[in-house]
Amino acid sequence: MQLVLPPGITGSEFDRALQDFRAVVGDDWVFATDQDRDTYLDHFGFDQAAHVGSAAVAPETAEQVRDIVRLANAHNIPLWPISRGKNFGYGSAAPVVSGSIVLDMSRMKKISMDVENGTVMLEPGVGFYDLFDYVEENDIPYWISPIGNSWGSVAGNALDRGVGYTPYGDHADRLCGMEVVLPDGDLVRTGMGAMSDSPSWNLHPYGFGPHWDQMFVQSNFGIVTKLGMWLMPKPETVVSLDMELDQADDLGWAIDTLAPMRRSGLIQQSPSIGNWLRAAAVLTNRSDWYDGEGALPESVIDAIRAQFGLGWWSINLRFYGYEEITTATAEKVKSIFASRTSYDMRQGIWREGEPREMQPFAGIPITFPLQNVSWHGGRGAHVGFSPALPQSGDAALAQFRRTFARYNEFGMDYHGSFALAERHITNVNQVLFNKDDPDMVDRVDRFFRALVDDAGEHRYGEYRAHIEYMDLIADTYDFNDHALRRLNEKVKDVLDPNGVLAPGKSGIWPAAYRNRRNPA
Amino acid sequence: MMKMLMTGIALLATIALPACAQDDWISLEKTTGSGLFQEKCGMCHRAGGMGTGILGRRLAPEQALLENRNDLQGPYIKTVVRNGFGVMFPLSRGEVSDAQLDMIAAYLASDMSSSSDE
Repeated sequence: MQLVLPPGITGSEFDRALQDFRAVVGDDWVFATDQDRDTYLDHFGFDQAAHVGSAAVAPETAEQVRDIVRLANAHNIPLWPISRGKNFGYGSAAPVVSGSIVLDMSRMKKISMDVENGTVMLEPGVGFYDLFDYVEENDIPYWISPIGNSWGSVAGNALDRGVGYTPYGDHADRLCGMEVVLPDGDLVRTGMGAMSDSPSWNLHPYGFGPHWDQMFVQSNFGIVTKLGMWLMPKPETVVSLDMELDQADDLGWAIDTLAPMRRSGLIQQSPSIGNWLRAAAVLTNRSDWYDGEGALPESVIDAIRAQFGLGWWSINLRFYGYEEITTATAEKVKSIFASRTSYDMRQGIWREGEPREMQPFAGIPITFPLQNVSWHGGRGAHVGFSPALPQSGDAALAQFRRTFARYNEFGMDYHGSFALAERHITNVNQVLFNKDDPDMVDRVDRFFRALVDDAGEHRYGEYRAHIEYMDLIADTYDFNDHALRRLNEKVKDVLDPNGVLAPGKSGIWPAAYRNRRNPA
Repeated sequence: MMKMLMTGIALLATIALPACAQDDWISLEKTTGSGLFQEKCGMCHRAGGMGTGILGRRLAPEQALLENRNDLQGPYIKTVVRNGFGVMFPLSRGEVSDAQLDMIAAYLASDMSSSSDE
């Protein structure tokens, strides 16, 4: 990709900035060739040319991050910090504002483990596989909480509110203490870390006074260079209950059955109710089933379900802990379901020492689910739309019917799931497309905007957004004429008067770049 | 009996590990060709990886794992890593430095990658 200069910066000013960055990190860690720029594009997105970094700089320490931030202020060049840049479906490593310099923290790969307390302090470059390998190779009696596609950074995922499948799956809720480089280059530690050498930094979340950790989640207020997280003690057993729901409308009663069990704590992980395409898109290509135009017809859906033995929906529940408790829990859950349905529940048990299920449920990182981007053949891509709903079967069913109709209207294949958190449902809609098919790319954009409009009419907000749609989603948070946006941008302007940190991230624009906000 | 043995091993493992203070920092960066392959490529190209699954659709199952291949040449490996291939995305020099990529390519192109140890 050819050079796109930072906004308002000349070629010679850009070159001088790169020279200064090289003085901080060394010549080998500033990247500015066409090929380098290609490697930081959004490879699973649809308009790569709209979000191009001008260069990348890769520090190894927090002190280098501080120096880079100070230089960015001096040169008035925006930075786009990434941990590992694997936020696929949300922009990967690419910046909102073209010309930004990607601050790539992949090299920052150190951890500090407190085995007794089950906490780990992570630098941003530590990925799920890195942490998994370390924990397993050292027989550390904890499990990590991997995500469905586990390339990414553990810290980066938590900071974007990613979720996993174990009882520790709400990652933003399991973080405890941070070290943050502020936009002026200052360095702050949150919670008990604000006390020098405190042994409780990763144990007591709050410290004294305001609690700032969540301020640095999905924001552009600072660069997190260390993140404390809690790990789940390795369970003695995992009991599984899996069920196939035959009818699309079964979604409603299934939600209403699961929700009270989730609230009471009988179910401690977030069960996800997903449709038939999840398996088919991972294991096969669309052309194996259908060559016609438009969304898959019912006859093909039936054939897919028959081949893989799937319901319209599948539910997977897991219970973790001592065997007496997990088996008793499973019995109680089965008895509750038995009052609602005659569908079978397949039960299994894993005991410590046995081979683990190769699934994030079992603390094992995987990446094979993203094989689904090959669904249309060619160079595939995907984008997700994930509004949060109340835990109501009627609301979920209505949302499903609306969304399914939109998939059909735009000729896309339905790929949806409903994950039950403690008090809400996240309705994850994945849109698989061929990025080399201009007609499909155009349809996906219009389709996505229709989904946002539909959800907005029911006042359902998305929990996370692709860089292309951050303004669109931020605009739906509209109480009191977007008072939250005003607050975010007041804070942004105080902390980052030059607007050098990730302008446009989460729809938060610093004053210097505010005219770049995309109209809704 | 087996369960008691396993529990005993787990306890020993727990006791043997130090309760690290939080300032004991360990780098997870690997330094050998095989280690770097696992760290940088393994997420796609070990069992359960996306690359293994997609390659397995058109190659014999044992050939879907790159470490089992004996037909991979260094320059080809480096070209694919930096440019991507099909749905494989290219890797930046921040994620895999040129020096690390040389070691990975040498490892995959050697006989060592298809034998049981390096």
